[in-house]
Amino acid sequence: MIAMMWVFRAISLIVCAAVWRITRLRVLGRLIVNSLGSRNENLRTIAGISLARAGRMAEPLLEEALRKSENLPIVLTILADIGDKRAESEIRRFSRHEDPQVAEAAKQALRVLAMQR
Amino acid sequence: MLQGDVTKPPLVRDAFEQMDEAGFLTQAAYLLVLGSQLRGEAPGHARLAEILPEEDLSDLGVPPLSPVTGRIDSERVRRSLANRFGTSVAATIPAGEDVTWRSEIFAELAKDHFRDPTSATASNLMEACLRHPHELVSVAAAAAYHDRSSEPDELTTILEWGTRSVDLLIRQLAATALAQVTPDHTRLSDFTKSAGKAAGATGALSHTAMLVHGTWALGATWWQPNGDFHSYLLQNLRPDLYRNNDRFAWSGGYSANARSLGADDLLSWVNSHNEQGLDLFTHSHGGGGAMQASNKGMKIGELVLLSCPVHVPKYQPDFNQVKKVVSIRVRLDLVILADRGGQRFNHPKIQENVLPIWFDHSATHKPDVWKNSTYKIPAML
Repeated sequence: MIAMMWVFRAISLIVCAAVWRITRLRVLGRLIVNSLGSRNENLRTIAGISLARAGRMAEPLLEEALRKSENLPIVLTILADIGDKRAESEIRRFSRHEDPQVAEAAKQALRVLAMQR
Repeated sequence: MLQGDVTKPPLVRDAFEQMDEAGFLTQAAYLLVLGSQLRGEAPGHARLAEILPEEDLSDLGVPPLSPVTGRIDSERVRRSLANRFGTSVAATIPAGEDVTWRSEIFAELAKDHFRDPTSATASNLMEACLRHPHELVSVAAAAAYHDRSSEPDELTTILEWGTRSVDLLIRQLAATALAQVTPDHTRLSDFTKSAGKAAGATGALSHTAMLVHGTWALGATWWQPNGDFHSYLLQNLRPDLYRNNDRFAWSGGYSANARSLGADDLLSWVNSHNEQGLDLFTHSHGGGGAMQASNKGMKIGELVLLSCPVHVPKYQPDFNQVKKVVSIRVRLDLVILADRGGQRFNHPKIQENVLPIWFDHSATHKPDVWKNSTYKIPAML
């Protein structure tokens, strides 16, 4: 039963994302951003897809996560997916991060963002 | 996976009541003995006493059995089993599907056989064991029964599946039997090739397969050298899997731009490493990137799509550039649901395989799922 808990969480996350898109309630958006740090790959991926699909609506929440240094690699990747060039300088800051995973994610994000040109 | 050594096998009459490793190995061994007994001695072959040493037969409690000439009417055997055990007896043997019988049926047929060891009770047991839940036993039954069954083609199919088993013992047994009964079978040349690949893998240059991660998985470990799925593939299925530190990786982004860039990078990587024609094991949208790379001119051997969301025509391989496409997925994948992608490919050139697992997008890169002999994933490749 415990092993199946993630399924209920995943379904809740999908519902939560739909409600967030309609209501724009920040608390729901934060719940989704927090799920980027889930140990379950399914939950992380669903949260990421929900934020990327929300586009600019997700940006304030993602920038907040950057400031708090939460789930940096995935947050940087999603910011690039959204494609807002204004995020470029913020992302660039992380390209020399001490954590090689964060630095690599930032470099890749900058390349993706450059394709917007 | 068969692991331990059997030092004291059970008596064959008890083995069919045992659902453990020693039991399965002994059941398989006995079925092969049955096959030799039913075939009898043949000119140009070793004598039966050489094939079946008396002391081994005695230790295992193998009863004597006279050889039969000609073939046994398999359909009649199956009908009689169906009359006795009901509709759970499949009319045909759908190779590759998970057709399992209750273990009591094997035990009951074995009891019949040891009470009255005749070719009739032996053929009942062999026909039933073709549907045994353990692949080793079903492959052994196919190997044993092939020369005497009236439906050898069905059994050839089981042997062919066996050559793709995750278990080395089963692969060797199936390939040896296949070489005996159909020496010209095309699968044997494939098998020889993959054995050659395995042998060549000790050298540093031979790579014919690579793993490609999916969305948000750039930092995940499972696909990287020494990661759990990478290690599983390398050690069990693809000793030629690319394992150097300069492995290919892409951003793992979700946007079309990220995937397009990933496809360009994959093409450049393959060209710079002189690795055109690689077999690719891709997860999730890593498959979309590989498909795009094929559209940009990259040649792929076998493209294995694990839990790949379907977005046709946006992501579809160039079939002129890809030798074979196999898709493996779970039922109602929740991540694909969130992605709003299709859950199934519907293209005649894509072999679609749906595991009896629900929801879990990650399941297709979990070693335990690949090792589970009921799913038969290696046989899908």
